[in-house]
Amino acid sequence: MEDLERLVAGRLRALDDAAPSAEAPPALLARVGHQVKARRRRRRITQSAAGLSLAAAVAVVAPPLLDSGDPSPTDPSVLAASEPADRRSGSALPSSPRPGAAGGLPRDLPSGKVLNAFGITSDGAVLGTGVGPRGRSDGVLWRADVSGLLTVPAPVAEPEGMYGASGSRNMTIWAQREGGGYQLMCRSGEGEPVRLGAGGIARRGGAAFHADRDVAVWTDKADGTVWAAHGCDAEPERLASGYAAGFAYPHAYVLSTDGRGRPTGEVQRVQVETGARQTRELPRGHLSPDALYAAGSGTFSVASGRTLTVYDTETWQAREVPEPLPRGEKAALTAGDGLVVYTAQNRDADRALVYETGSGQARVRDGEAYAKGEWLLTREGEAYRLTSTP
Amino acid sequence: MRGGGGQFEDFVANRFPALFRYAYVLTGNQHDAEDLVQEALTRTGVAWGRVRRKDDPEGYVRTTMARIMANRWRRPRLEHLVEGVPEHAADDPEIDRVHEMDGLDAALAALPPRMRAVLVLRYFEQLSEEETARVLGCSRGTVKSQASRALAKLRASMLPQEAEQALMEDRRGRS
Repeated sequence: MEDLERLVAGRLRALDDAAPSAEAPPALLARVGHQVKARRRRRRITQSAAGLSLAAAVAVVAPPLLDSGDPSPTDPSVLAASEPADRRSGSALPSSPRPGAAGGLPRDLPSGKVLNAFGITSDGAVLGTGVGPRGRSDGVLWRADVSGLLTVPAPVAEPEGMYGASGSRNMTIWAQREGGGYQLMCRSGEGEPVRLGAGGIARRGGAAFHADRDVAVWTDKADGTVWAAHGCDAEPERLASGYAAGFAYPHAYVLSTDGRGRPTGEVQRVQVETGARQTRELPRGHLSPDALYAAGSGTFSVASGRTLTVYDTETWQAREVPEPLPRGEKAALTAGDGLVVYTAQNRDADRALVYETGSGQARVRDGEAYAKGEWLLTREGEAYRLTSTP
Repeated sequence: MRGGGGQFEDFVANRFPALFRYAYVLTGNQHDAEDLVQEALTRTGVAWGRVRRKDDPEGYVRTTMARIMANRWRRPRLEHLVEGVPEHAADDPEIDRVHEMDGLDAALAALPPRMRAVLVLRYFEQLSEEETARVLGCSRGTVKSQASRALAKLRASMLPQEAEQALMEDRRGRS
């Protein structure tokens, strides 16, 4: 230890004999007691509302949804609780919990900010960043994994800037601001972040990078080429020319582009392991720069204007969802095994359209929502809630 | 205030003096220390059902305090800290050392909360960079850069400009 470090340690130790002012303890402890009661009451109210809201969502939108978690009445402890919901609180939600089904995730972060989700991974991990009351980000990419229930969010990276993140069980990827653009970064487990690709990321309306089953797929800005990497450290492989619109392992959906980067109307469905590809056509209306795309299990969806169109990827039969998409200043489209979810974000309130591909039912709900793999993440008051779909 | 088993009050009554001292080390002044310990105990009280199942509730409160401190925006100060005494009364090494310590204390007090929290964890708690990063919920690189910048600020505060220049010239002469 250097001299200065020793000096600092000494000066800090010298402060370690301070005593509170005489009147402090009783008054301070009374304030603590009062605030503990108030905050517990506030959480109970929020969580009751969340439970009722989700019960309605389960009944109308996704009857088969399972739920086995229940936010503890007090704290982020929900993350560590292990008893099924019906035993703890007599929740009105369906019981029959099973391993892997998660519960609530309070938004409070160790940084003092609240979690704003970018989305979820196909394994149910929640990715997001912390945002304060004035909209200032903590600059940290947080990840809460599913281990029975959702774990406490842990920091993954602290980039200078980022616009989104994705991931899977052993991989987290995010778009990190570098110079005038964004560079795709990748971190596996406890490893150090590494760069994927060299030319930065091209983006259209939505994210231009995707991850599933520890395979990352992205569009390189420099040459308009879609690449795939099996893990953060693997050598990337070139998949196709164009723009990576969606990825649900093992298929990447690539919008073919002309020499000037404009979509030609053709979408390639590329198998990332074998390189086998099928080509389909998209109507002009699905190619606008603001269109959003998402790939799910057996589906490829396009949100354009106020219309959501879901393609069956085997037959390429299109189904137009009759419910109009909610309006928003920003939007995100995600898809899971049986759900396609469009979230419209607004300054005052977010709205989400949840479409169940099996039954063809759609419902608009308050709060943001994201689907991926078997999971659905919904915002319920001041908490997020993760449910699994069978 | 009996939450989740009713031991929270006992815990607070027993550990309050030690927790306050730690808050004082983190903040460097009475008012901020009281605010900090109050907020950390409130969060602990709300989470008591979980915290009490752990072996180390005091560790939980300390970590909470460090994180609150590290993420606190720098607040405008009511007092203006004097960085050092205006002039040296005598050419006495002991007095110089006192002045040096005054400068160091003032510089410590003027550090942004996050830098100070890093220094407290690294040099008061003697945690490694990895452990500090875990406590604060940030990367090791952030801990390293915050500690380095904090020490640079402290070093600058202790060295009067002339002395610093002389030291630089001396180093250049020897190289």
